[in-house]
Amino acid sequence: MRRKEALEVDRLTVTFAREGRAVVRNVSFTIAPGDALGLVGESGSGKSLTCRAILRLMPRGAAIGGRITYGSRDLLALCDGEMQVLRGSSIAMVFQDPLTALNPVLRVGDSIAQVIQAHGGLGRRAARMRAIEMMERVGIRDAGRRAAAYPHEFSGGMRQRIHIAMALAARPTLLLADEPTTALDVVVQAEILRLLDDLRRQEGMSLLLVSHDFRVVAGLCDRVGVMYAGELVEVGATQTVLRRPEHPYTIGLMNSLPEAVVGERLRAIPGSPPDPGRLPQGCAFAPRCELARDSCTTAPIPMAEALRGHSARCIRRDQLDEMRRGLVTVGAAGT
Amino acid sequence: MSVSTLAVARPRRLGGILMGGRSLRIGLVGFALIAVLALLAPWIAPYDPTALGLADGLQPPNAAHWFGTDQLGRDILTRVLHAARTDLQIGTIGVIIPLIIGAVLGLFAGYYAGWPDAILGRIVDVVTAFPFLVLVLAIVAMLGPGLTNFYIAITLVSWVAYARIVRGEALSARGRGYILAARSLGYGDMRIMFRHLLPNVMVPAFVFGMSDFVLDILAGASLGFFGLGVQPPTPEWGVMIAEGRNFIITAPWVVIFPGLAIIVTSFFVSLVGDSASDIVRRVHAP
Repeated sequence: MRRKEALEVDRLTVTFAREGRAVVRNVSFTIAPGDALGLVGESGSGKSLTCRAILRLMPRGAAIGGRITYGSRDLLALCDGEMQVLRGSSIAMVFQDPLTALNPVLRVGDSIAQVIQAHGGLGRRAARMRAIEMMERVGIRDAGRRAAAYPHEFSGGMRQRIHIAMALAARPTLLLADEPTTALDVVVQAEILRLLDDLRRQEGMSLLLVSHDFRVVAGLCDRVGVMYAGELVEVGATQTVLRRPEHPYTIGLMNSLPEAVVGERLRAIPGSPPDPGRLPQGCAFAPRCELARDSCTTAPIPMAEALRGHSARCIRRDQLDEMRRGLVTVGAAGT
Repeated sequence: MSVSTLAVARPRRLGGILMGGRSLRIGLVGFALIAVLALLAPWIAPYDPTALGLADGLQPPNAAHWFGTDQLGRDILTRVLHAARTDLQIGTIGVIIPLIIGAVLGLFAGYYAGWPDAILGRIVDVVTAFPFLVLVLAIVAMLGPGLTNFYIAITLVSWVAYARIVRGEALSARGRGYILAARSLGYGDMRIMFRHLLPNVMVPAFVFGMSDFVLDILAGASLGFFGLGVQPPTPEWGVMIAEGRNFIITAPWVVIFPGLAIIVTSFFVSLVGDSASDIVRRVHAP
């Protein structure tokens, strides 16, 4: 059995110092060994940056604050060299667009073999063999021949499989998946999600899955966190969050899924997210929230536990019943 | 227009397109022919390039000497063929060494950006401020005449063009997904730069190298003309023209044939360079 480690993110903050914008604020969560956590939120809510912060792959000018520990290691305290060794071998990442994530001038087999050589210390020949094995594992038929092809010779779904094979080639124990299926069509999306889920279980990996789509997360993750304007507004077991959301934004997000309102107009959340440079006092969602009162915007809202392991950042939770009515059960994508 | 997604996104097809253009084909065939003639010069040239025949000086083209003879009675056809070796060597070395130096420095500047880029940028500005030939002449004049010093001068001057091209390409390519993905896999900067970035940014530099090749041959000929390049009696087109300039009215063939050799070579290489850059532009276009 491989070493199992927990990821602990504690009050993570990402700021662009020059513009004075805090795009991720006080985000805390834990992923137990072998667990899967989903992060849901709309574009710009900070979920991707949260993901990249764990690997310390930040855009220029972004500073990370807080604490991220993986097993016994404090990731933000490691030197660049130590962090580099960890990337790929312990923590790997799958990106949204598989075409841009693959180097166009490298044969896909070589791309995968390179990961193995860089981390595994295997020779050229052994690395190639293992690369082909990995391609078979992610469901590429005739892998021995296809290994010599270039990325543009594959369809989007196949490219994402290759990208996943690269990420898993050095046998990481934690996989960060940033919208791994967003660029794919629905049928392929379901296949890729099933593949990710299977591989995760076989390898006993932990997974952090970022998506804007509740259904994607529902299929793969035991726990889900909802992000809004750089903050985690609700976190809990996926089933309980879906059945009984404790934050008005979560309800809004669920209502805006197309299947939530068959035969009705889509119920979009009115307004738009705040500019991270000019966040309101207190609850960032208050300007768009129908339950908002003056007390929502006077002081920062703390995370409060509703049930064990299910907390939300809302002080008007007892008023949510009306909003929850009419909520349709969200099924998992691809199931 | 971003250049590098392009050609490299479809490596296989690029080969097909390269062979498809007619002007490209003509250029490649013509240049290959010249290169073969140059390589075989010692065996196919009818005479010894340095053998004097004062009695036969300044003969017009005839059956024994197709291109005629020069003032010292040397066979001009023989000398034009042998000179091709020197001039093609000038073009080749004059492209490859600056290309390597410029590409490496440009790659570092483009990948790291920030202060390495700022420093390189200033140096490039300074070198670019001078006209190419003037700077080459000045450096050779300082170091002394000769082919080695000419190579040094060419290298000092023309690496900046390659550095600028590669730096620009690298700067735009470093933000691409596959570079971020490479970093997420724990690759070091060197591996990312040379194995992931470099192959994606080299095509425009190669294309520029073609036109630079012509420029180098012309520079070599010009310096030879001034007596600062290849030293007589080694045959070199520019030197031959310089030596024959006194007879340009009475025996024009002495200068015409080496001049034609320069023109024909430049023509074919330019053809290759122009069509290659057209292709790069076409393939790169969105």
